[in-house]
Amino acid sequence: MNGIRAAKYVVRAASLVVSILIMVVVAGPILGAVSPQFLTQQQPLGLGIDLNSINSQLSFFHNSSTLAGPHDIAVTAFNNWPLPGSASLLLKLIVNNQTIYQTQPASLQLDPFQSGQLHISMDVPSSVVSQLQGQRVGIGGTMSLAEGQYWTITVSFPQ
Amino acid sequence: MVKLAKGISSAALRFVVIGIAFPYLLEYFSPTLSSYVQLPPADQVWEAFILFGALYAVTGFLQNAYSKGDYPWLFGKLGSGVVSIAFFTYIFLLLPKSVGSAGVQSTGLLYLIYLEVALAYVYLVLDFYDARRSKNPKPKEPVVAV
Repeated sequence: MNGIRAAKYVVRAASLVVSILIMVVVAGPILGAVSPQFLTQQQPLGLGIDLNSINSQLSFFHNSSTLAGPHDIAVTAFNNWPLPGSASLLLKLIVNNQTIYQTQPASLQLDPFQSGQLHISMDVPSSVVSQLQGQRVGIGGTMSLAEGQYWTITVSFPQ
Repeated sequence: MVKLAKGISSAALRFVVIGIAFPYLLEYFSPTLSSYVQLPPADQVWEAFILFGALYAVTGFLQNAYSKGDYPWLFGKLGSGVVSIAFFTYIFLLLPKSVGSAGVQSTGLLYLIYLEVALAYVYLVLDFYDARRSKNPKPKEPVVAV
């Protein structure tokens, strides 16, 4: 085999490896966002945060007497993917399209095929509680998913 | 004749997929997509995809109607790379609106993509010269029997 042909095959092999790595990096957070909608019975794929679990933990909102004070909200972050990643989440209370309270962000480093809990402390001050009286309160937030040092995707919700 | 037919069928396939099927699917799913991505008006989307479909068709024709080692084949390959860069730039321009104010940070990923593009072009050039050498082998030196 001549030199040019050998070099051609080496470059082709390197190119394939880099292509596969790009696909794996890009697919992780995308699958993490999409798969919880479809794989409701099985474990979701990719790197993501299970936002569906937040609503069930907000029962203290139904009663103004339980609203004040610290509340711990645990949200599952999963990394069912072969690359290490990290997830972070903060929650917001929104009244009339304005954010009136925002939690500190909770972050978690996740090894490949590891899941964990993001613990968000929601300590609503009494001044904010008084603003919430009789208002329709929306929950929003910002979620960041990072696939190693390759890319970070940050999504604000609701859109 | 076979090469010409292959070139025409490849061009037609690329035009149908990129220039017709893609914008049709975008329009079909636009009610769902519009909650995540702010799409341009439908006629602008059709114009852009028909243009990309035509460019992909031309480059596909050059790659398939000519043999590896011919210069039109090389122009087809190089042109296809340039069209792909323009196409994905157009697609990615839609993305930041879909992920709120903070968006996407992709420095490391971009370096990987640049490396991949560089490797693909190095491969292309090596493949081209390998094919030219195979098409025009060096004449063997006459062997003189003593």
